[in-house]
Amino acid sequence: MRKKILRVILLTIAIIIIAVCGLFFTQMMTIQKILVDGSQKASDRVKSMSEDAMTAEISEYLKESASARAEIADEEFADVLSSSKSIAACASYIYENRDKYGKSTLPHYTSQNYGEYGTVCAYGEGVDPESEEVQSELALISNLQGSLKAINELNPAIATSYFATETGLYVGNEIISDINVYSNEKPVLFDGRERPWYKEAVEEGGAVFTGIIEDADTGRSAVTCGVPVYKDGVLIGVAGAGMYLDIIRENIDSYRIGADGFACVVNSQGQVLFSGTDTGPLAVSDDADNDLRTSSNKTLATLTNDALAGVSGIRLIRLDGEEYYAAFEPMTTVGWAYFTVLPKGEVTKPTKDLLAELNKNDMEQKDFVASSILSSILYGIILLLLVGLLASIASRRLANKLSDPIVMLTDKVSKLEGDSLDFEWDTDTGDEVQKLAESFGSMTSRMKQYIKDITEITAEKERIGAELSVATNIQASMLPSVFPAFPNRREFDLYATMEPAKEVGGDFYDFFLIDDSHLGLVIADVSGKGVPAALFMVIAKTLIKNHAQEGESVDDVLAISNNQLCEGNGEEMFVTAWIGVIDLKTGVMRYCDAGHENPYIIHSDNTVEMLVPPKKRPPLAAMEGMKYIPNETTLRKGDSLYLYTDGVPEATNTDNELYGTDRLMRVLEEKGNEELSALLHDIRKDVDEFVGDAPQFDDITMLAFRLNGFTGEESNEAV
Amino acid sequence: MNITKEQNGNELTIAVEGRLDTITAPELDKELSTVLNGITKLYFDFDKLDYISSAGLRVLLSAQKVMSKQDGMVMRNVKPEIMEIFEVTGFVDILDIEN
Repeated sequence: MRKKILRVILLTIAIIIIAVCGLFFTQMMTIQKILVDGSQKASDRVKSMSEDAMTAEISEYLKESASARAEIADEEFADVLSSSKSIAACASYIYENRDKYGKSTLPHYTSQNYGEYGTVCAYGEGVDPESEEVQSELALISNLQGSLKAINELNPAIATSYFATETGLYVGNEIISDINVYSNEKPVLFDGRERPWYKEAVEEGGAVFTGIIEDADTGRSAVTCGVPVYKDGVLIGVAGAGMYLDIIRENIDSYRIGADGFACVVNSQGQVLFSGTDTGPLAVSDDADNDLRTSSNKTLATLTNDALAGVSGIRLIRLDGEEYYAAFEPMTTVGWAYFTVLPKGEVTKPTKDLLAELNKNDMEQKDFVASSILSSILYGIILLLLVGLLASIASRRLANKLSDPIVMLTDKVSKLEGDSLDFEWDTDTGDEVQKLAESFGSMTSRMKQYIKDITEITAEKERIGAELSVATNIQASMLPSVFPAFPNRREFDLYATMEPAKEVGGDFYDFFLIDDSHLGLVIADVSGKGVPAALFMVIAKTLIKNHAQEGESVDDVLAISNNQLCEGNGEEMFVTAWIGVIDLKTGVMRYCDAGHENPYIIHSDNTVEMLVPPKKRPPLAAMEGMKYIPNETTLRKGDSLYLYTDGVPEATNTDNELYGTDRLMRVLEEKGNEELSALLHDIRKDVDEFVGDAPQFDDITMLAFRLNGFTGEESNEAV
Repeated sequence: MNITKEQNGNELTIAVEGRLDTITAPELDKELSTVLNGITKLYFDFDKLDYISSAGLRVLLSAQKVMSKQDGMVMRNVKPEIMEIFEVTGFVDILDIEN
C-alpha cells in the first residue's frame, strides 16, 4: 500500500521532472538557436548594409576629396592666373598712359639683401642697357614694381611675378640672390622672350600655363603663367607669375586615405605630374612620352580622357591586377585632372573588420550564451534534484500519512484470528479509513453478538437434542424391549418393534401379565408427533397399564383412561388404542377398541382373519364420557395375533400410493408361521420395499403374539 | 391439498380437496385458527377429499371442540372411503356427518 502510493507519487514526480527538464532543455536550445540565428542574420545584414554603406560612403568621400583637393589645387593656379592677368592689366595701363607715369627706378640691392624679396631687372641678349630708349622703357615698366610686390606678398603660393617686354627687358619681383643682382655693375642677362611662358602665351594669344619647368633661379619645379599684353594690337610683352609646385606636391603627398589610398595629378598631356604612389601606371614616370590617355589600360585611358574633358566621377578600375575605386575631378583652370584612388579592398576592409569584430562578438556571445545555458541547466538540474529530494521525502511522508491508517487497520484486522473478534479503534484519522474502521468495528461487534447468540442457540439445540435423545431413550426404555419377554412361559410368544418417524414417536405398545393366566396386550397411536405426543403417550400408556393391572374390564380401562386423558388436553391430542386381555388357560380374549386399526388373527393353517369389532368407537381423549364396548373372541392353539399402528397400512410411496391392508394380509398369509421376530422383520422389509425413497412420515409399530398352548398344560410347564 | 372457503353470514363452508395428512393437516389447522372468529356454524365439504390421516382427524376434532360451543360443525358430501376411515376410527360417534 505504502509502496504503491509512494511508487505512484514518485513516478508522477519523475515524469514532471523529466517533462520540466525536457521543456527547459528545449527552451534553452531554442534560445540558443534564436540567438545564433539572430546573430548570423544580423551579421549577414550588417555585412550587406555595411558593405553598401561603406562603398557609398567611401566612394562619396573619394569623390568629395577629389573634388575638394582639385579645387584647392586649381585655386592656386587660378590665383597665379589672376595675378598674371593683374600684372598684364597694369602693364597695359602703363603703356596706354605713358604720359601719366614718370621715370621710376628700381632699388639697388647688395649681397646684404640676399634672401629678401625685391624687384629686379634683366636684359635680353643684344639689348643695350645704355640705350636711352631701353632706359626710358625700363623706367616706365619699373612703375610695375609696386604691383609686383603687392601680388607676391598677397599670395604666398606665387614665387615670382614678372613682366617681360618684346624689346627684351624683364622686371620681376623675386628673391634676391647673386644671380639676379648687379654684380660689379654688370647688368643681369636674362631673356624673358626665350622662356616657355613667353613663347606659349604669344603663340596662344592669351593666358597660358606652361608645363612643369625648372625655376630659372632656384631649379625648383614650377609652373608659370603667361598673359600677353597688347597695345593697339601689337604685342608689347608678356606678364606672368611663377608658382612653385611644392604646394601641389604637398597637396598630393598629404593626401591619405586608408592604408594604400593616394591622390595624383595628371596634366593635359596625360602625364602624371604628382602622385602619392611610387608604383603602377599612376606613379610619376620618367618617360616624358608616357600618356595615360593612350594607356593600354582602357578603363584608365577612358577615365583620363573624361577627366581631362571636364567630367568628374568615380569608377572602378584595375591597376596591376588589383581593383581600385578612382575618383576623378578636372582642374579647370589649368586643364589638368585630379585623381583620388583607393584599393577596393580598403573599401570593404572596414566591413570585414566590423564583421570580424561582430563575429568575435558573436562567438563571445555564443560562448556566453552557451555557458549561461550550461550553468542554467546545471542550476536547473541541481534545483530539480533538490525538488526531487524534497518531493521524495514529502511523498514518503504523504504515503505514510495515507497508508498508516490502512496499515494500522490491516494490523488490527489481521489480529482478528480464530475466536478473537476484539476490534478496538481508538484513532481518529478523519478519512474513509476511519469510516471503514468504524463499520468494521460495528460489524465485528455484531458478529460477536451473532456468534454469542448462535452459540447460545446451538447450545440450546444441543441441549434439546440431548434431551430429545434422552426422551427417545426413556420412551424406548418404557416399552418392553427385552425378548423373550417371558422366558418361563412357553405357552405363548411375544415380539414387538417400534420405529418412530422422529426422535420420539407417539406410538406405543405394551404387554404385561395381569396375573398368572391373564396377559394384557396394548397398542396405541397418539395423534401428533414429537415430544408432546411422546409425553401424551407416556401418560396414556401408564393409565391404561395401571387400570388394566387393577383387573378392571377392558371397556372400563379405556373409559376411565379416556376421561383422565381428556382432563387438561390443551393440545387437542387423541389416542387410538386397542387393548386385549387373553386368558392364557382358555384362549378367550376380551378386547376393546378406541378408534384403532383392527388386528389380524393368523391361524395355524395360514389363514388370516381381521378381528373386526361389532362397533368401532372414537379414540381416547377425543371426547369425555365415552362408553367403550367390550368384545370377546377365542384364540386357538397356534393362532397368532398381529397388532399394528396406521404407520403400516398408510406407509406411502413416492406415487402417493398407500401400502394398504391387502399387501399386509398377503405378507401375513405368506409369512404367518415364521418366528414372530422374523415375521415382523419381513413385514417391515416389505413395507420398506414398497415405500422406496419416500420419507417415513409416521411411526411404524407392530406387536405379534402367538398362542403356543394353554397355561397349565403339561407341555408348557417350565422345565 | 386445496382449501376453498365460502362464507354466508355467520356460516362458513370449507371445501378440502386432496389429501389431509401429516403434511397438510397443519395448513388446515392454521387456516381454521384464523377464520373461525365470529363463525357460528361450520361446514366441511369433503366431496373432493381423497384421504384423511390421524393428523387430519385431530384437526377436525380440534375444530369440533371449538364449534361445539357454537352451533356446531357438520361434515358434508363425505365419500365412502372417508366415511370408512371415520367409521374405523370411531369418529362417526363424535362427528356430525350429514347423509
